[in-house]
Amino acid sequence: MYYYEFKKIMHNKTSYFILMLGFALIFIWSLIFVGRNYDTSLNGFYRDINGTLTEEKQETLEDEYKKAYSEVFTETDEGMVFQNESMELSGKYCDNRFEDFCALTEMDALINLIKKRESYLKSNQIKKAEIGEEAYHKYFDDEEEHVICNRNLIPILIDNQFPILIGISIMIILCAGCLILEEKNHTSLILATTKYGYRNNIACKMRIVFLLSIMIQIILNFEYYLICMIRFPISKWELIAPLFYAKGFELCPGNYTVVKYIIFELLAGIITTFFFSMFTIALSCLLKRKNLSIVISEICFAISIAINIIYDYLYHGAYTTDSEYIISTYAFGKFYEIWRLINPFAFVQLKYYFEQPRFLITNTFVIDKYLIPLLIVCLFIILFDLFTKKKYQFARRVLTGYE
Amino acid sequence: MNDKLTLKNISKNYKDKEVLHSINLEFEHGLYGLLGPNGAGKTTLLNIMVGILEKSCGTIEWNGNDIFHNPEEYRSGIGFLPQHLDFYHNFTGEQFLEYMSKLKEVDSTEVNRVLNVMNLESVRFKKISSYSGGMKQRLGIAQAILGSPKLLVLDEPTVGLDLEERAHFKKYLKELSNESIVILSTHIVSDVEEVSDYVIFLKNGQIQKQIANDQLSHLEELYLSVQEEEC
Repeated sequence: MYYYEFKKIMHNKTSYFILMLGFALIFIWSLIFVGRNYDTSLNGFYRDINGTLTEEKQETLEDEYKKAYSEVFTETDEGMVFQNESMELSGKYCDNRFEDFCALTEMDALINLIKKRESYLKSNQIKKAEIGEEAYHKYFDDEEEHVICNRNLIPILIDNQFPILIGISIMIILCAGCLILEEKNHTSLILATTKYGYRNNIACKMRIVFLLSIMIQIILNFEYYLICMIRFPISKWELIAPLFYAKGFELCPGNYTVVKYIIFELLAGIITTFFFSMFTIALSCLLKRKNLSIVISEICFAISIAINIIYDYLYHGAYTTDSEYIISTYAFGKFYEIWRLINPFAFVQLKYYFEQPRFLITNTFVIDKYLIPLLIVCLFIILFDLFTKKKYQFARRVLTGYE
Repeated sequence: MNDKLTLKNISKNYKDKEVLHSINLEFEHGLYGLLGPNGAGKTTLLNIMVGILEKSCGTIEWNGNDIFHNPEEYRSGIGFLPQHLDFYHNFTGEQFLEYMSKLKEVDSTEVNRVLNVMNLESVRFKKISSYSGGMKQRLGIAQAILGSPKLLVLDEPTVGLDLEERAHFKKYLKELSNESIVILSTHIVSDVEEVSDYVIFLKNGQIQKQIANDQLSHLEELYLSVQEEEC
């Protein structure tokens, strides 16, 4: 089925051209933007501290860190504490642990890495026998590999969704072209008289779009990895080891290896898409209106995640800028707490529990993966509906080559 | 048990225009010819029958049950050839039929059977873009008869077929109608004259006449007289 659906989507030269163009755009985008932050200020900083950790370097880093966060934390006898209640609340929703809160920024992550790496290396001396000679030599034996180098790759690898959205949009344009073709050549009529009717046809295309978006994500991650490897003064083991070995690497939140993390990411995406599809199909059966049910489920889904989006994009990094928002972070935090309890779609958050155990503990999560299935369906509906109407003939011709 | 399709009081309106008016028909196994001039409402009626067009009022029953009670079961027994069917030109004939067999959940050996029945074996590996009009029409019929459907609905199936192919096709339809309901819509009298068990005359969205096969000897005259009556 997938083979044939894919063949249908790629039914003419224009389709191949659009696909190639999309990949070219993604590649160019990656070359220009991947790691741009590191090329400027941070990269210089990383270069300065690159190499074996010395006391002098650690002191420099800690000073930099304290300077950067003097507005947020106060140093007390008990250690670093939040300066006021609202910040403490924000911190709570991010994570209860001070260290993890620190890990939100590049520099903090760097310091965390140094500390963790150091303590791990010390404990490793004892556990050396347990780990086994081979593994030890592979990752930690050579002093040259003890480089201080945390690119915090996970956000770069996973969270950067722009190229994926380009990929998805292209696939949707191609699918819309295929749907138009089916309307024109009347095959849509015979597809509608098969057992599962149009539903089968549309659902299969949706699955293809989703699978392709996953493929694009995997390709992009690989490409990012290569670019990072070429661009930064980084040991190859610093990049390769966390793929399969979690302990002591800041790249591996919750002690998950990068490979495991990506697998969870994909699984979690499938769960959300599956849930969303089931909900839409159920609604479609109930209402007997295909488009209306898709729109309703989109709205439900959007409402259910709206608060999370606000939280993630507006408040996530805004611990010191209460005054810029309509309500304070404290009030928002309270509201958010209630919302989590009453949100009927809260169980979709399972997706995020898969991703990082930290979210399970704190019941908080990152949001942008929600946007992928949401945008797939939104764009799909918009394009399909717009493209099949006469008045959009010009746009149709430009984008797909069809009248 | 013989399958039975019943249309009760079917009407269809497009805004203010009534395209079909209170159609009542019953179909049991056999070959039914649906005759009528262009614009009579034949295609609309067939599309409603197969469930791809919504009716304005009335009910359609399959073996006594409304088809919307269990549409999947109903659709799984349908073979349909729409008017002016075209294909995916980058598929070969065999690939298209395999795709359709998967959608219809029928055994893939059926592909060989229908290719054989429709005399398409020699071109099965050729791209559909290289097919002639007649070949495309045969391919369309081939997808409709995949899995020997209980209800076969064909809208203008003989367009583009040469004489030999027509004769072969009619013979096959006659065989199939022994166990299935075959509804064949056309405006060409000779298409239904030889093989139909029943002929239904449709004009201006209304049934003008229904006749059984024993009255088919002067079908053309009858068809003309029905048209004149209306005038």
